[in-house]
Amino acid sequence: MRVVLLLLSLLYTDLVFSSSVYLSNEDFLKQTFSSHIPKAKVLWQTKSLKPSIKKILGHLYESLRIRYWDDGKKTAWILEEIGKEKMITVGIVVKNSQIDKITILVFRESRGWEIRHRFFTQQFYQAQLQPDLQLSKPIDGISGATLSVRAVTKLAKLALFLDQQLREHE
Amino acid sequence: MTRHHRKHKKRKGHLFILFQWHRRLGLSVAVIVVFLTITGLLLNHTKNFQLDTTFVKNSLLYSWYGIRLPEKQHYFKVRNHYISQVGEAVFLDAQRFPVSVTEIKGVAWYQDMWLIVEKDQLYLLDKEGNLIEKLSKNSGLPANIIGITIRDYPILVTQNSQFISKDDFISWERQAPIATLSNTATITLPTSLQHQIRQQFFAQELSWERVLLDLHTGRFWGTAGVWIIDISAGIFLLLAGSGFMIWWRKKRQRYHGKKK
Repeated sequence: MRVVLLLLSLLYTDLVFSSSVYLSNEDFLKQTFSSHIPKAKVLWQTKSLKPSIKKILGHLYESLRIRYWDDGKKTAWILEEIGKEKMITVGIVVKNSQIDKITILVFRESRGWEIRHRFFTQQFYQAQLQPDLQLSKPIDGISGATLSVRAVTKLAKLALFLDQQLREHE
Repeated sequence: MTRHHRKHKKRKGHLFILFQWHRRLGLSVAVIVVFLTITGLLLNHTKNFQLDTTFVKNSLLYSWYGIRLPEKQHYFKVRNHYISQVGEAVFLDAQRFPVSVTEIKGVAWYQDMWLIVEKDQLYLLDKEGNLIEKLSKNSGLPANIIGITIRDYPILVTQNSQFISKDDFISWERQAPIATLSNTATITLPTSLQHQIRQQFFAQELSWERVLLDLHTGRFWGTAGVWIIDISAGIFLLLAGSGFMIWWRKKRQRYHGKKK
């Protein structure tokens, strides 16, 4: 009986966690910028940026222009990448060219949702982008969530890279 | 005639019958052996022959597999171009756009961009068909859109309101209704374009590796094909057995002949 209940609860957990919205974009931006959310801006995936983006993601970003929010002190990015089959939406805040916060906003896969927990996302805190486009800190994986971990790590690198481009053009 | 001679003659008779049947069975499956050898060899080297990445273009094969175009199809004509929704796929004339939709509500052309709108989504594509941005409720897009029109700026029409974006699609402001959606007349696609879209739609549906695999297993011809391959496989086993028996008996005959 206990086994049946355990299996049912696992099945239920699976159903609950498939395609979950953990935080809306608006709430993520409110949390990041308090009450005053700056107006969104866009950064184009230009020819000069494409090689580095391809090196980071293994492919080009799905859209040509990427939306971000900048209050002069920090930038917020809402980026998407495929985990195994479906998109994971991640909110990333970059401050002083370092990751300030990573939040999983939408998780659509049926496995690997553990990446939303703080024990995973806080590993990125103060990570920087090195010249070889790698993070300055090692990120520990989660067994059973390898592809999701990989996707979030790529997006963290991408956010740092895009933020770097903004700073260079200022 | 001694008893030994009679026994030897009887054995020779058995061997002849066995040989006859071996020959008959061999001939009956010879074509299948050749066919399975060729398909098997090709399947062993699908990567070398790029059969896994080469797709069937023959419409007869698609009909044979029962692969048909989805029934859900909507067509729009903007600036002498046809924008078609076929199932979840979107085509600009015969070129497939890199987006997947549920139901297109409207299409517009604005500042060298294609704007394709769904109930809760807006896709911006450049003139080459690359996705510029996908906007949704999360990007501040109004919900329940029923159409799009251009009056200096893009205007999204919802059930009760209209929204205008004057800042390059960053934000949408509600405005007093000024725009009306043009009546969407029923559009018929030119036959040549229909054919091209059909080919493009099926461009990555059926690989040659799949066809070869189905030919090799007999599934290409349905249940009957599978049975033919199964029966042939049974005959191959019999042939192996009868071949071994013939070899064994001949060997014994030669051995006995030498002994005498």
